[in-house]
Amino acid sequence: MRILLVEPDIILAKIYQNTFERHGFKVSWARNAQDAICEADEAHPDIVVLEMQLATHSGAAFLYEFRSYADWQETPIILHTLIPPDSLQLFAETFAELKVTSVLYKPATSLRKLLSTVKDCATMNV
Amino acid sequence: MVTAEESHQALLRSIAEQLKMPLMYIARQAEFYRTEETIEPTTFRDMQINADMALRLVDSYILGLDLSTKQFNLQLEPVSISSTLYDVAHDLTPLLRQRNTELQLVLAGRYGEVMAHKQGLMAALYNVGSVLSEIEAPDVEKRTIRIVAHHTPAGIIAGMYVDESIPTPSLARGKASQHNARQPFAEATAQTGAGIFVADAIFASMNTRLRFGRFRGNHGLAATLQPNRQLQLV
Repeated sequence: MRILLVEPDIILAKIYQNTFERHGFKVSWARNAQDAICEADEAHPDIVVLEMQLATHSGAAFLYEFRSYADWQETPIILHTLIPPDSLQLFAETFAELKVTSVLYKPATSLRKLLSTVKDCATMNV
Repeated sequence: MVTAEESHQALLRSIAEQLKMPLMYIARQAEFYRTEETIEPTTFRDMQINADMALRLVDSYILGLDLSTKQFNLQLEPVSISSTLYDVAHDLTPLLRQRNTELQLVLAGRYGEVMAHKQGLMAALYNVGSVLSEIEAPDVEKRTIRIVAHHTPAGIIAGMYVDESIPTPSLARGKASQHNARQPFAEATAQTGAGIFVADAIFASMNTRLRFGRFRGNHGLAATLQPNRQLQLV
């Protein structure tokens, strides 16, 4: 299974990538929304792990763009973000419409939790 | 026009947000290396636990700021006190175990829901527990912290208590000397006790305060929360 990891921080991206690869996933990494769309077009991910707080364009812009393509309507998307839960609560309906699978608050999410969430998506996606 | 205090607070907030990044690097990197077979696992376990604790303190500080500002629309909601205390106990256990401290959960009676900000309540209690676990107890081999909820006429009191005597007046003095003492709680801990002030700020935004008190002979810190009256009518 291939994960598209949209993560602007190089150090965290490396840690997450190593973690996912250690557990048998292939990983494509993009630092921003624009690159993420290009990477998705090339790699055809099975799961997207997305940081909402990106430079230039926000993760929301990526979400709308990604879901506008027929091929990616059902691809599970996990938000793994620095934006606090209370701020994201305001967009709960939007996330439901865009079929966001899970929302994780990055500072409070261990690698174990992130991995188990990804594995749950992988199981549903089979 | 921005006041000097607002400007100072914005700067501190910005620094706190920035501090989260290296703390996350340390915590997640340590967690990753814990499973490497060639590396001593306890070293990285301890590193991860403490980095996560520091991350949580910084995050709680920012949350306290957010809850207290006028721009932040504070939503108090019915929160299950029992499940919240269970969650806090679960989160605190690795840290307390590292400090040779046992955690006991004491829920005397049945509890409905209280009006609170769930994330804030968890953050506040976690940080209180973290500070209490730092308290010096040279004659005690293994310490116990009790996380407690109990009914009173004023509401439901949720707090944390230690089994050796904390000098309550000195802790009250410490709270008062936050602004001009490097070690406000010097009689109890060598650290600054920042978690207590962070917890107090969070509780203040929920219209309650962290107070020193006793429960079954143990001293500790607790806040009074109001039950959700609406559900009681059903």
